Amino acid sequence: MVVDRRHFLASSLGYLTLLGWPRAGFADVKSGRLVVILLEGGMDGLAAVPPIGEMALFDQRRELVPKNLLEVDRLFALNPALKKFNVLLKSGFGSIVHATNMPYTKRSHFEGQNVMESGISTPFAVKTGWLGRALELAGLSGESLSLNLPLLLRGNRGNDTYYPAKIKKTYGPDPMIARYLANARSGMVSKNFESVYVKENKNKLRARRDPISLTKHAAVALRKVGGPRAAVIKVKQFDTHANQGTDSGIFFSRMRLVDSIFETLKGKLEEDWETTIVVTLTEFGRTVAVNGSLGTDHGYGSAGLLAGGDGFKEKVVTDWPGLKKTDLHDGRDLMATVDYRSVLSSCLEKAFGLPHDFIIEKVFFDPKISRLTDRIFLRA
Amino acid sequence: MNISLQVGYGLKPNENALTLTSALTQLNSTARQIGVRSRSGSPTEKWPKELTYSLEDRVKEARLFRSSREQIRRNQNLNSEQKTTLLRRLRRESNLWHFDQLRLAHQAILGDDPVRQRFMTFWWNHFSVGNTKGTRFYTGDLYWNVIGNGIQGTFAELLYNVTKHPAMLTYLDNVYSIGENSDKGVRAKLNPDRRIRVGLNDNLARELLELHSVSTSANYTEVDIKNTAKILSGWGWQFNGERVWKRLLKLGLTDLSEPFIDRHHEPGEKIVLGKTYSTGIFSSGQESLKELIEDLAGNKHTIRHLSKKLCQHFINENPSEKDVLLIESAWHDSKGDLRVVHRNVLECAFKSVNQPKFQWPLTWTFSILRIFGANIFAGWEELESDPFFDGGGSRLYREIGQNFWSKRQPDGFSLKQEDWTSSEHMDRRMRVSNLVFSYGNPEISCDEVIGKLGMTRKTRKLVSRGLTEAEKFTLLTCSPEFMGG
Repeated sequence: MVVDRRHFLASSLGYLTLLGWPRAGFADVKSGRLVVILLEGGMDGLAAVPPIGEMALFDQRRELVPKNLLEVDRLFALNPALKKFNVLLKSGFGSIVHATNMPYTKRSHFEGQNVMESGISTPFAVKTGWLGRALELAGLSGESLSLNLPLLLRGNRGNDTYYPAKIKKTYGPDPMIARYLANARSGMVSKNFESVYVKENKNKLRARRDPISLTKHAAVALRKVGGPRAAVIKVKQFDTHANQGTDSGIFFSRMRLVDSIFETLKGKLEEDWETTIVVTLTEFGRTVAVNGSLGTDHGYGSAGLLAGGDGFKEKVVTDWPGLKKTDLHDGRDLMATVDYRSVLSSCLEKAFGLPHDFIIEKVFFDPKISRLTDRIFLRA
Repeated sequence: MNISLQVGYGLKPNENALTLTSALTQLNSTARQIGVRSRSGSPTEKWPKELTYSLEDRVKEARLFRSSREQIRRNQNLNSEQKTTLLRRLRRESNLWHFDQLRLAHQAILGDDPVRQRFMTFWWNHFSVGNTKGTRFYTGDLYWNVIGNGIQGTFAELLYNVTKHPAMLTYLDNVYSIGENSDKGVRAKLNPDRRIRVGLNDNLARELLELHSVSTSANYTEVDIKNTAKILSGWGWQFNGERVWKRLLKLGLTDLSEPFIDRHHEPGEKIVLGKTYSTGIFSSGQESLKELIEDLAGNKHTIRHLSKKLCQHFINENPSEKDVLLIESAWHDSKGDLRVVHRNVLECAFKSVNQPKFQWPLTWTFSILRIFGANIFAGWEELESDPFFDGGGSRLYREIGQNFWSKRQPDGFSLKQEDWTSSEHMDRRMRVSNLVFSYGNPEISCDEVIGKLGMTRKTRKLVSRGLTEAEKFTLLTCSPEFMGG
């Protein structure tokens, strides 16, 4: 299946009426930037931002509450791995949205991952991602720091991937040969061979490919005039069914990586940090109760972390549902009281200047998504 | 596209064209395992016996690795730098799975049964096991023994044997799953201050239903998952945990292929998808897994799900309803006999060659090497001095985005073209192609391959644009007809 703009048109009735939208005008506006950090496997929001004001937290998962928590307010604390993020939070440049999730309750990774990337509540309903569609509408392009293009960014011809090769004794491919191969095909594969041609001719910066080096590359790319305006970074292994850990261990080390990504972006984007928004995204949260192997199973509500140079209104945005048994989804998971698509559409609105109504209708295909921009950002 | 690329790894320079008959012979044969000692110039030989491992060998190696690692970590006479060096060396020396990786490549490039291997790889991907928690020691056994033998039997047997394999039980955390009302669970409740941890872990149960058998189309509920987890409780132990191991030996549990601990099993009735599975007074509950798996394997949702998946992999990414129905009915008629199912898949594939089927990067890499009589993998005697890729090809597999021994998700590698054609993927294809040409010593020329595989005029024209043999090589191997799609 080739993903192209026509396919997107087919899946969004009514787009044609808006073709007069000043696309060129959009591209001229000095647009903001959006970085999405995908947390793959189902990030445990109650471990990242434990609600320590709730006694039920200790009844249900005492073994998973870290000791050296960073206090946020009377109800919430931060995981000790999030030291740098805590600095952002304290200075008003970070925010937490808690008890939130994409509208998906069935606890399958693969359906959940599809929903978080496609932005549509029915899994596998479309072949494009919400960020790809949004960038297409804003006349911008994005870059993924991975070998393949994630669903999240599909739906936009300008989007591309970047992942430095590491094969000994090989050099970059011959651009002319790439061009011949592009011409021998049509559609997406042709476009991608063409992109090999372009990249090789540009003599791309050589980079290492650990997450932090890739983040540095992202920052450099995002700062370029005419470069990508959105980037996607994936952090894997949040599926902590066993030995999740507290002040050290698998969850802590993954979270610390996320923490350094925030820090690196802030440092390397320099003055462009002012107009950048960083947001995390995961398929679901995890069970409130600890399981038999000091881990947690698939759940529902989780937490999202946001940061950006233009400031946030509150440290924690939440309609906190509580952790008592009767407050839980199916009697076991944190309820999601905020649709995470509201958060994402606010980020898109803030970063790319697209109007809310336009985003919910043309990106998420759901006119009922409420607007949270005023609640989240200092200057909406 | 030549059929040998669609259902095999192409044809070796001296190999005859693939026919339906020869493909079926390959599928049902137990071909000899072969390889080479060194990368250049050494003749094909039988794969050495000391480099094929039994499950016992593997568990032994895993335990040795785990206990040596503990010793180094706990040694107070070493500083952290020394520890890092020793740990790195230990990791390099516990390299059993590097030989598994190498054997996979050698057999694909040189073996006499590429069709059989392609079906094995399909199932290996279906039953994905990522490299975590020490599973890398066992995945080779899952591939060569369980799946290798399993494709000659029924799907129910295969599903059962995979589900209770140490690699799967470890990867999806079932080794930690203990029923709350099991003997151990009751003991934990009676002695709350001893803090014995018990509880179900539903990771394997969920994926058994969602990925391995009925899929979400069966509309099972959380209760079905929980009850499946109860049936699975007691299966598996921490195969490389020394403390657990000693206690199990004391209990007399040593049969690695039946790793069931009845005092961890949740007793009582369990209803899954409307059927009741019970543990009677005289039964430990061990049999209920087999019973459940037989029902899951025969479920119409499973048959539909897998028939479609087979078609997607071997025939067309968007298979026709006719093809899927054909495989489905072969499945029903033969009661899930995989030999019959696979034969029908091959018959369909032989009828569908007009549409180039996009191939995985791994399949494609092996095909180039096989067709050109080239090799870039180390011989089994030179693993340590491998000039290109550390660890029996790990790096190459990683570079092309298809390392079966990586920390991957249980849904396996995508069967969709769109997930394999980013610009970076295309860049890797061109690099690998160039690497094979420059360092793999191709035995035959592009023109010979074009003639042999009967490439179309369009492909010939594309290749003719290359000015040197190196350019032609890349153009041919990355052409739509060779790569598919």
